[in-house]
Amino acid sequence: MSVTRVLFRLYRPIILPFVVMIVLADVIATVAVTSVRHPDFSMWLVLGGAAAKYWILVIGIILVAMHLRQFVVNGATRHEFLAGVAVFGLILAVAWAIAVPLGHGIESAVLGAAGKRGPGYPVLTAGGALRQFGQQLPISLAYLVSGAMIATGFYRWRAWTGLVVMLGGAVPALATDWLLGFDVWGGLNRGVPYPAGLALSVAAIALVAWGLHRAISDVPIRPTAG
Amino acid sequence: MIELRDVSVRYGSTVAVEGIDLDLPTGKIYGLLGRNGSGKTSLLSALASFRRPSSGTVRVDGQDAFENPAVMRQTCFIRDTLDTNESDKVRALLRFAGWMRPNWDADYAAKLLDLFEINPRKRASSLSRGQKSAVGVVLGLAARAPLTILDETYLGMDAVARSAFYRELLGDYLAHPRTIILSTHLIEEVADLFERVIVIDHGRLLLHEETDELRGRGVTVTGPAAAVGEFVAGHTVLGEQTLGGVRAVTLDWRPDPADLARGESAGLNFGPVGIQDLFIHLTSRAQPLEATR
Amino acid sequence: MAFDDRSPIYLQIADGIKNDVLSGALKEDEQVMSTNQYAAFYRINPATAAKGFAQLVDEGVLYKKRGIGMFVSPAAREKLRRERRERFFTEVVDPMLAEAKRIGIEVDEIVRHLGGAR
Repeated sequence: MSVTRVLFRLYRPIILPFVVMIVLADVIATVAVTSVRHPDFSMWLVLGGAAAKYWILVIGIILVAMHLRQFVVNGATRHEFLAGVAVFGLILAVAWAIAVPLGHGIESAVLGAAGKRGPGYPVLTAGGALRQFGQQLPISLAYLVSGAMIATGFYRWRAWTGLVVMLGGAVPALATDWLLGFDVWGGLNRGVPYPAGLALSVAAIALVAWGLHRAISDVPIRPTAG
Repeated sequence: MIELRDVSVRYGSTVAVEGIDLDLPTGKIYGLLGRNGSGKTSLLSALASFRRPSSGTVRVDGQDAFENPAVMRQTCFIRDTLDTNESDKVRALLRFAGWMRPNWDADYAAKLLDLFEINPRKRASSLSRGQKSAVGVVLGLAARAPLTILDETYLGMDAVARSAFYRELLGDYLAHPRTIILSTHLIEEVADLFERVIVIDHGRLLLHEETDELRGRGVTVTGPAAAVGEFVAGHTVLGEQTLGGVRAVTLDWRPDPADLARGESAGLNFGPVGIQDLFIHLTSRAQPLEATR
Repeated sequence: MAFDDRSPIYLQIADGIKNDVLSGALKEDEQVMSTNQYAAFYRINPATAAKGFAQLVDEGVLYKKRGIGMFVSPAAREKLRRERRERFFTEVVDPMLAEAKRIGIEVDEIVRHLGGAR
């Protein structure tokens, strides 16, 4: 079985409950808020947009800290692992970048139908959906790559080298978040024009992804348990 | 053919393996012997591409092994840590191996778990040392990898479990011939299974021989000190003891009947040296000495 | 049969089968175990077992039928007996006499003793 397929098998029991959990949380929180007042913000963008990226960061960490060794000892090369992770991560990131505007759209429609939208509620438009996709996708990829690089710093090197690699590894997540992160109304945080923010984010992601490839491609699989 | 050319493994300034050359024809069971810290695990890690050799090359069937998908897919290296995540259940470990290993035999894995009385619902962290080894045996044998490397996968096993392990190893090898490399300290109980024996010491190759050639290879000569000294001159001494006027010398030499007759007429006694003793003698000092009077 | 590691196992295997032929436990033209059966039964490496069998084929004790297996040669028992009888005096009697001489036992005494065993 390919690395990507195995990864989906491994993560299936994690991904599905996660999606159910975040949808439930959104429904419950929205119901709670609307019982008090008509919300002026999108609960979905708070949970799905702002919080879920940390989950992606953790996946990036776990992939290197736990799964790299497991795959190599079971006969995959490091390159096969990286390629499998890239496909797996890309599918996850695209799916989530679709889920964010989709969830926002549903939330927007339901609240509209119920007449519960506050005056400041960010009603989703076609352009807005596209922009959210364009923001969420690089953010997810950045958090995944950062998580993996941070774990690699710890996995491959010790002490100071590892710390430096970890700090460098965090750059895509921090930069992309700063440049492309959206607030609870779905707008850009810092007012950096999107094309410039996207270009810088992609550059940071690509640079660290290249470093990750270099660091993993001949990393020793040390005999440490757990 | 598995070829190691001038393979060295260094960790910083520590040299674990130095300049090892080995040609291992495939389809045989090899025993890798060496004392603790002799470099066995480092050598096997390089062989299995868990680690790129600091210098030198490992080739399998003419192809460079490191990061070669065809070679790595066919290689299964089981270390004593099991290389798992402690929270994983045994069942999950086997399932993972089943997903990745092209020749995985799930029925055989289940049979072996049963044989070693291991509950597949147990977590890796709650296994005893011996149970961990047994799970290693299950993973190693059921993978049916053309190159199977088992690094001391008997640690903590009791005599019954070890005996079951050796029986299964041989039985599965007979049914599915492949290259198996087993590293061990317990030479005596498992030597009969090895077609060839590799001995390393201080990171260097000491010996690579057909196992049967080692049986009766050494000899211990006992007798009056002067007669012994005269008889053993010119042969490689592995060890010696003196008590009063009696001297006992262990030689790396297979005397022929004429030598034995000559020695016996000089009042000398000859004793055989087992593989275990030969190994101890070979590795207990760095350089065997040339005998002198 | 238990093997020791004081001499090559393939020689011990060959000796064991020769003894079985001599004692009649293995009859002429009877099929012997295959290498793999032998290896599994005695828990030894099949290559070692194969070497022992090859030695017996070389010596004419066994013969191969292609695709079927190995069998005891018709003349094997007779041939082995002849060889062993020749070796009996040099390998058994002579060392005994040497030992007897060392500890002062007369040949007559030995003959008397052997007469009692008759």
